[in-house]
Amino acid sequence: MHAQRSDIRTGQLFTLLFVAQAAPAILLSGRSTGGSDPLQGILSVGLTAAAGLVLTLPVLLLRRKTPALASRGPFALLPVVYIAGTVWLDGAFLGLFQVFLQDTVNPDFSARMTVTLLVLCAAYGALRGLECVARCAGVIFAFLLVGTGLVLGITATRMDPGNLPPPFYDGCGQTLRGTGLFLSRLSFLPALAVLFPRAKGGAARPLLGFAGGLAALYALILLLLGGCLGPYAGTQNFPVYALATLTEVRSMQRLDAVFVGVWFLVVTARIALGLTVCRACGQSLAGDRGAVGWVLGPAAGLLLVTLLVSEVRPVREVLLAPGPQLAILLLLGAGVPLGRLGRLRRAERSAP
Amino acid sequence: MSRLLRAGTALLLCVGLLLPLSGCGALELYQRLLIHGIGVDRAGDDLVLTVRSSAGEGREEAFSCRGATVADALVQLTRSTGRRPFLAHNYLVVLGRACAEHGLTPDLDFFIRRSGTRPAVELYLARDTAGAVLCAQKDGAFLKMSQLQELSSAAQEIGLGEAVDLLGFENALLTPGRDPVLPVAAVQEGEVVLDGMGFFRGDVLAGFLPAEALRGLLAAQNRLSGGEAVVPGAAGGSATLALTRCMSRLDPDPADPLRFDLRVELLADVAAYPTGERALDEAAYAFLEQGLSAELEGQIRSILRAAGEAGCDVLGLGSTVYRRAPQAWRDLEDRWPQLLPQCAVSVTVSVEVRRIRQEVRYSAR
Repeated sequence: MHAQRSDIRTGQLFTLLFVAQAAPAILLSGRSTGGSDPLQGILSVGLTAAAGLVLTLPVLLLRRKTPALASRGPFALLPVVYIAGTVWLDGAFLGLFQVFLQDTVNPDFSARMTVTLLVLCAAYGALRGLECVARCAGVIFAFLLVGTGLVLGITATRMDPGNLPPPFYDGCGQTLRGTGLFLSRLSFLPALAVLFPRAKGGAARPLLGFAGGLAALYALILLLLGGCLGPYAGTQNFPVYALATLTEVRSMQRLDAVFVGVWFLVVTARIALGLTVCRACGQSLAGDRGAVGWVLGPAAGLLLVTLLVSEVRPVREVLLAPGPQLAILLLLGAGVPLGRLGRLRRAERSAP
Repeated sequence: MSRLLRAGTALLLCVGLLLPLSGCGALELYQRLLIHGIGVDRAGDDLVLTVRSSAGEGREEAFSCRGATVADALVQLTRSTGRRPFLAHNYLVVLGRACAEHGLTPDLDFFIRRSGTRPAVELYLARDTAGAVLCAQKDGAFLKMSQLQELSSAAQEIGLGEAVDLLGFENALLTPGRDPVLPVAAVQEGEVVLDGMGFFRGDVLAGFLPAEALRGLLAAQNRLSGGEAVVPGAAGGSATLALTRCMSRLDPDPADPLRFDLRVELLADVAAYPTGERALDEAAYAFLEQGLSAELEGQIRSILRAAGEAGCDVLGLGSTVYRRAPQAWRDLEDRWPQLLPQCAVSVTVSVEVRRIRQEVRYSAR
């Protein structure tokens, strides 16, 4: 078992996880929330937050028992599975982000090159270490609060209750569908399983702040989508960006560029977190040797998945399908820690 | 990693990110056509676009192009000007009457889907052609697009019109039980003026509301925020009332979804009185209140009659049922345009003219 350094505090870790988990918010749409009723969307977010807290329990309990991602016996290949899962989830997200850049932002520069540079920046951060990525995420968190707060605060002046549909007009199916879809995006679970042993300090308050804050952010965005954009949101591929284009205060117009700029930082933090997880998994297999390979290798895999998701439609439908993503998250985020916890408890009971 | 290598890598990444994100390699300003206003007219199967753009140094220029669709016409514009249209700062879209009579969905779809456009762009309906509105000149100078954009907002502030943007129009179109309206722009002696509102059945123009009735439309929709109203004075002449607050409420009858109760409450101040009296008696105030409430009631009833006969729900009676009694709406939704003329709306407008009672009579010397 390799000795683990306590690189960061739990508050820093959960700030990093918050920023990473906020990243998909810019890609929210009726399709990704299961319907257009904002009330049911908010309920789905609440249920997902509660379920997410329950799913973190095995990781919290495991932390006390063993500090490392075990790489012996039946769990020898576990780090490789975590790396593959992280590359899949982050690559799929990044591919959809690239589609967003190409389709909606439609810049005059290559979205593929921008995403590649973003991954290289994230890789650099991962090579610098978890503490570097966590500190950077702290700064990005401040930008996220200020930037998003400014844009959404201005947009909120256009709230019109007449845009909101009657609650549960089409039944409560959206609540269940939405909860499943949101659960399939809880990419923080595998990262928490790998990195939590390396964080020092109590977990209860940071965890509750993380879950509550994230739920509040998504709930606010869903409410503004329904109240400000109304049925118009259904005409847009990425309605959160359309919401940001509404910002105008006198001469301050088109603050959507600010919004996209902030989200670039957020996405960079998310990818840096994923590559840090890959490096930590590599360390559990091979120690401190080959850190560059354990970061750049998954980074290359990530770019390949991004390319496939953004350019090849059949592959996009498979890699973005919520069912397999949910399965990976439940397995890596809760199933494996639960299995390890059970094994440790059996070992303790059978010990003299 | 050595410190030098780290610094070099960080610098390289910063420069690498700055290059694409700052748009290096993108078009120069002179290669772009900075569009501030677009007019869409229908000519047979084709669309004629009138485009207003900035020519630098405060000058404006206008172009005309033709195509099967809005996008096709903009491509023709590039061919004729050599510049790529830049839509991110487009203030407004004027739609010609022929487009509105044909149905606006095909023409507006470009502005909804296309990246670079925005949902807050103001919409106008031209009384005749959009080209005439956008190319109107006074003293040899084009009307500035920013001025035209402000026309409907200013009219809404004084209670004589309603500003409608693409977001508002589409939401009215997509919300069950509502039909959209658009401000009408007309050219009179070289000037562009607002000339009432056009109301639609779906996306097809169904009729016009005169400018005199628009205060009632705003009041009924709880959007009247100000303005002055001229009403007869008790002793003859005309008095001016400044409207300070308006609250309205539309309630469906729980027992009959085709019956509604519309209550409008207005607060006003006396801005001018024909006799110059400062201390009005109670009878004078009551006369003013009755005059304004009768005027507004008449306007609201005329709107309900005109729009209802065309099957257009401009006041959102159906959407009120949709939100307040969704189960009842399920039975009515498919037949709503036919049921609309049968809707009975009880309109009650109560006006309170504020009595300050601080006037002082000075005895004559």
